Amino acid sequence: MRKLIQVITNSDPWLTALVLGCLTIAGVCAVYAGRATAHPEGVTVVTFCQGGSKRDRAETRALQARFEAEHPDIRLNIIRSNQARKPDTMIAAGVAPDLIFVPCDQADYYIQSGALRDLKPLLREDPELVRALGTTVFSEAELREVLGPEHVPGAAPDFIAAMVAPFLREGPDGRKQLFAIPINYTPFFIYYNKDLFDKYNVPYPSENWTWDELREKALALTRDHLGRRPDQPGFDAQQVQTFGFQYAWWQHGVECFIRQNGGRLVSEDGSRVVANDPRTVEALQFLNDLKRRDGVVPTGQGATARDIAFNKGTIGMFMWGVFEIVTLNDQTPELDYDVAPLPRGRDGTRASVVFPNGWGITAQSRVPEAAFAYLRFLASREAMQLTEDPVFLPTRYSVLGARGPVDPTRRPTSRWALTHDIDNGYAMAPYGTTAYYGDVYEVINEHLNKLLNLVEPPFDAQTAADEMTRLGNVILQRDRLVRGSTSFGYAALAIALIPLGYLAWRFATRPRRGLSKLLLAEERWGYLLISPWVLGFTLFGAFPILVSILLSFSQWQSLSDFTQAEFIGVENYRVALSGTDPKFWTSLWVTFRYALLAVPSGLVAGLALALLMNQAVAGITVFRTLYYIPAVLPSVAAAILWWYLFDRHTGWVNWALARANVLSPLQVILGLALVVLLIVTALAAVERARGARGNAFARPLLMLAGGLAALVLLSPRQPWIEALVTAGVAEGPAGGWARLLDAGWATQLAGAVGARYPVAWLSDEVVTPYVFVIMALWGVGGGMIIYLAGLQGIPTQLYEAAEMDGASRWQKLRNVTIPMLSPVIFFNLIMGVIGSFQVFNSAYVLFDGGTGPGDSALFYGLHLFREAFMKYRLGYASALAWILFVIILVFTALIFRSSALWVYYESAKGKRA
Amino acid sequence: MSRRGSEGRSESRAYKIVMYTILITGAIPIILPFYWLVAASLKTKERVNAYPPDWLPIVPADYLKVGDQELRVRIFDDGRGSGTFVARVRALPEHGHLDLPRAAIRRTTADAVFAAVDGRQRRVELRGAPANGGDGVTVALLGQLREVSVPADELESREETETYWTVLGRELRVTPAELPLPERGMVRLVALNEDLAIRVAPQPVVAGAPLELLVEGPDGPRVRLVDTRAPQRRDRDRWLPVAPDVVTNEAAGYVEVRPVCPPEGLTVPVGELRTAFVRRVTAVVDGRRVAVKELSRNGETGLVKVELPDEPVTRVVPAAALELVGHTQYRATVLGQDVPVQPLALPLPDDAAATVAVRLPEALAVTETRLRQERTFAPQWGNFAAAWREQQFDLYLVNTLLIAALVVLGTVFSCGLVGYAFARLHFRGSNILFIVLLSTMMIPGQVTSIPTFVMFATVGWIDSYKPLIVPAFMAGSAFFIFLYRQFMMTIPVDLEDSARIDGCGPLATWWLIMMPLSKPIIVTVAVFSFIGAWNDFLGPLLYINSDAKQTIALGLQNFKSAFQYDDPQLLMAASVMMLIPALVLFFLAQKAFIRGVVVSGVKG
Repeated sequence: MRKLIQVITNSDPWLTALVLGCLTIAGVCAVYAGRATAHPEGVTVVTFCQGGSKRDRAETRALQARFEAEHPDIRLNIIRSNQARKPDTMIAAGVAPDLIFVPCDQADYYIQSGALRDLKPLLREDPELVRALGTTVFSEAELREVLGPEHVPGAAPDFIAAMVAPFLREGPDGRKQLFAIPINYTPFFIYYNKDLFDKYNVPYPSENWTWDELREKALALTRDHLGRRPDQPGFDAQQVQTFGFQYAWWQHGVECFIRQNGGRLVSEDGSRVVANDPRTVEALQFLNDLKRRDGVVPTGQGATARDIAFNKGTIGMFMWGVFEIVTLNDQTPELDYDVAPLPRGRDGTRASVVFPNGWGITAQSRVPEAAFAYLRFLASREAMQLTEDPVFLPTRYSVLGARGPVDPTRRPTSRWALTHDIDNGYAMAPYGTTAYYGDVYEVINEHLNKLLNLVEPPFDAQTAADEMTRLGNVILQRDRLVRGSTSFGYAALAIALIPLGYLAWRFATRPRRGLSKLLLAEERWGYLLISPWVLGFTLFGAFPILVSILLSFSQWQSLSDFTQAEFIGVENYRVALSGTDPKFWTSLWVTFRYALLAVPSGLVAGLALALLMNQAVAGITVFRTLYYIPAVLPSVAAAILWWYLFDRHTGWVNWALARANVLSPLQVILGLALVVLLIVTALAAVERARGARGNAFARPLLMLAGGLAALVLLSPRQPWIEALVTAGVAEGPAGGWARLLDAGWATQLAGAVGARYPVAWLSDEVVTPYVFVIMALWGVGGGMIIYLAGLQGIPTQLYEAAEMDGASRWQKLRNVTIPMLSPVIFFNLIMGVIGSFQVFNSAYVLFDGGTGPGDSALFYGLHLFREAFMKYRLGYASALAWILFVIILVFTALIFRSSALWVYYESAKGKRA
Repeated sequence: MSRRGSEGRSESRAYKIVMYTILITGAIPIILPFYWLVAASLKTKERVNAYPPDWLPIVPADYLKVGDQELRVRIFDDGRGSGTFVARVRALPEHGHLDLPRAAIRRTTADAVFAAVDGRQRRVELRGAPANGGDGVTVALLGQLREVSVPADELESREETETYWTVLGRELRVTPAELPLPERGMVRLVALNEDLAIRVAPQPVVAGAPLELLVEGPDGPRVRLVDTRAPQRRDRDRWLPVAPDVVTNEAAGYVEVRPVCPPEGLTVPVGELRTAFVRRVTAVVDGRRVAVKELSRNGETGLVKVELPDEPVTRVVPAAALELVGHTQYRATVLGQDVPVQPLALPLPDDAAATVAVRLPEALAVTETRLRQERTFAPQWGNFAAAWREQQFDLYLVNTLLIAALVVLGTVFSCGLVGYAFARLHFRGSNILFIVLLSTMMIPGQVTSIPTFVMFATVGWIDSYKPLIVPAFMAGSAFFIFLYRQFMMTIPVDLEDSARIDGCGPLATWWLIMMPLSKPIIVTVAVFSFIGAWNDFLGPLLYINSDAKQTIALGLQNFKSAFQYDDPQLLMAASVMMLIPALVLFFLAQKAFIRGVVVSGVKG
């Protein structure tokens, strides 16, 4: 005890200050931290997740205030999270929120995994709701039973049947079960620009207009810069000023047209992709013709895409959801628009895809009654009326009707069109089918994008339909491939721990030979001191690793309990390596490509920067901080930043490129060479000033002067250059060379790599890899610090000796610095390779969890995360993680093997024998 | 830097100039994105995505020259067309009038109602049907003159007390019955001011019956509004009241109610009232005293130019005075463009040479060369306060600091302990264990994240800070242990041995000798772990659920989704605020930090 006091009193004051400082901050903060509202006794707390925009938040706040005023014994705990899968994570962890948001395409997924509770028993508490749901959920007999004498046989339900359907399932007793109550939905309809229609004397769309009328109107509204229509001679497709029609090219939008034609994308039961049905192909062909043959639809890649937008008045008809109304009314009050229902198909069929959103109560909820009270409130007419903005439409006829009437003071006037398809009973919800629904959806959208959105390559409807059918069915089959039989539970986990226990036992019982008492004591201390790490490693390292090895051989993809995983052997590895999961190879390629680009350039840039930072000039610390800033920046902030800087139309990157684009390619090459020359000359001048021998100064200066003269002479504005370029272009083969003298190096470079100018950094798959390399290079300061450390560790004597021998700067760098630094370069190389295989944050934030254009941002780490935490195929994701580990291991081993050839190790100084 | 120190004298001035040029040139691309972030956080919402980009937070004012007068306009679309640069501009109200030859005006189709008001033909909007038996009809004036000149002595300026009352979260101007206000107690409000509008959800109303609405406050009924004059209009399956005082907002499902004054007055606690002093200038215009804003004064004529209030004035005029022109709306060629205009008074029928004042439409398209831009440097410092208020950032800050302080404490000492054991103590298996330790650096974090999550969930640590803090106390970072070990291996053994001779055990040696000598590496680890904890995003994302327990990084991510499109400048301000602590810390600790990395060396 006395010894302890002695130690404490002798403590270093600096260390004591650090400990006390941390403890004080923690103590003070602990008083205030996590200060949640304390709930009085007897209050039930209902939890759910909600993110969304500023507007959504305000709306939820209003609903919450209203609800809590009515129910003083219930308080809402709203978890702010914009991660769509946050509730899933919570369900998997056994701490599910009481209520979850169930979009219709997720309904199957939640219901099949048993995450949702059947609402029917709870519904009996609320006769109004029962009456409103009516025959959509209940049989006549059930209604009579619940409502008693108040039941009016044959009464029409207040809820729209098509909205309720996705949340219904057949129960074991043959009765319907309801797992979520639809609150709102969004339909598709057509916005049209009345000014454009008036200008070209086109009649407005009518209630029963058809595909042919749509095409006719679109043709009449599409005009080039001289006012010519596509069906007139001389129409210039490159100079279109107004487009007739813009459709929603992705699955839900296209499916409207497919259903109008009587076709389907996926079979009724969701088991097969049937996109090659002739009626489906015909609908796809109709849309494709509008774009490619008639040219009345803008494409996502147009050079003037910025000007082509409905709110800019350059699109005649625009197929979209309700949410655009708010934007249009807020931001473009001068645009005179109205809405019309979707056209009827060739045989008069009316169809529109709607997308209902519901809320359900989780099976894990401990307070289902209180949760139902809020759900009931959400589904009440009162709450639906409270909803501020028409971002979605309410699912009850009675509330919907109140929003329908014509109002000349508010655009759009024909509000009936918003709900017209519902009133006529032709709307339908898209399906959600299996766990692989998301993958099928991706495949379908990828092909629809090629067919209906992109310009290149030309694609025809039959090919697209065949491809998506084939690929989609491969994915759906994967679901049925292997079903594991052995269910391993905690026993399997125990088995996993056996090797660990065995090792520990062997270690502990190993005979201790020839150890003195002193060494034994030291050994005991050694084990004691590393025990925090051993404990931490066992808990957070070894145990999870073993579990994940086991998981990688099993199938565990629902939200069910951890012990429900099924052993399926090497199936996960087979799926990845055999190409059944095509994204595996894509992501591997994306990652390799990135590593090839980023690792070498990062090494060189980091080294150059470190050499620069090692100069003894005043204020170098400020520069070091400046160069290091990007490495300190949180990845979220960095990604936000670059998202804006790389914006195609308003970003600084493209602005700078546009400024520099007056130069010709030759000028750029020459200019870069001159910069290098300038540095060399300057350094040579310095050497000379220091009295170094040699005349390496006059020649660079001459070259510099000559280069500057050439730079001016080669300016694209020179008449003789213009003449040469024109002649060269006309002559053909020489044209390519003549273009080197022509202005617009950025345009030419973009053309050479197959991108368009101005470069769409974030939506053109050709250039997105470079975006990540640029971001990585920007953060090169992190690697720089380690080089710097290495540089400062090089003994001064070596340089002094070199100087004695009359070595120049370059010779010192080549023969002293680089060999002495090679272990650091080696370290950075390994870290760089490991780092590039684990890229995740920048890709995740930049594309909001998506895979980027043409999967060009689907890094291996992102693919793994998406499989694990967005698709919940945890077994497969574990297999992916282990494949990644092996890849990293192989690379590290290769680099290690090669290190003998180029890494120079000094004697292992400081190491005790 | 010791090496350079000996060489320092030989660095000539030329060398320094070259170095600084390279350093500064290289810093530009590194700093520019960061500069963009700071600049954007000080811009107005509209200018964040301006193109061409603004280098400084400026507020531009655009002027359009028309004839010999210059109008201030607002560019609302500077889209680059395929031909000439065209900007569409919106005329600002204060310059919205333009004199045009009458011949420039032509008719198109639309409904308009004109009435002779105060001896002038004015465009009006019908607000109520002619009442039975009466001879009056309520109309609202449209397109009225916003500027008039009045004799200077007609102006009256006085200071007034305004009283406000907050009901249903909205502040309303009210007139209390008795003044001055007592400190506490109740006060009777006799009249609510005219522009009071309360939004209530519509209730089904029976046709013909008086409309009765009950406005509910947070603690019970507050105002009862009765309006018996409301005629009704049929809307599908429900009757909605439509009256001069009731405006329906169908999209929102609200009815806006404008009570003139509650019949029986209203009694509210004084504490709920707020008073404010305002200077008000009034003038008699068209025989009515209205509040105006003085624009300019002409000393010679004694006339003052004043701006009239914005809202339409409601008047009662004889029904016979109404003249329905019907299907008239005017268009004119302005700046080579055919645009709709709104006459402020009707032109005389037969005077072809007369000019008529018209109101410019909202949107005009003009070429860029015609615009003159005045750019005012105006950093929006308020963005920071606004961003801070938007979420509970003060609470998040406290939460993050708590986590960061404990993580730093745990990491610095537990890693130091383990690093010391690996550097100095001999125990069997130490080499193997060290290799195991190093190899954990290679395992992708995703491998362990799933089982770790399940494990924490099993022990019920979800929605607490334990999953974020406890691993730090268990020497969670192999890299830091590695740094400590490398550094401590360079400390001379003699010091340690002398401590041993003094009777110190390994633990005391570590605390009294090794740690004080390892300050550079402690700073390095502390800075790294602080920045790591401060920026950590995935950890809190997985483990923290409650709003009150969120951290700054998570708050920023949520902020991003909510504000990226609505208020990007606030998002930037929040990002900048999040950066500051890490930057300051790095700058202060930089020297020790680099020394720490240097001495430990990375050569194994």
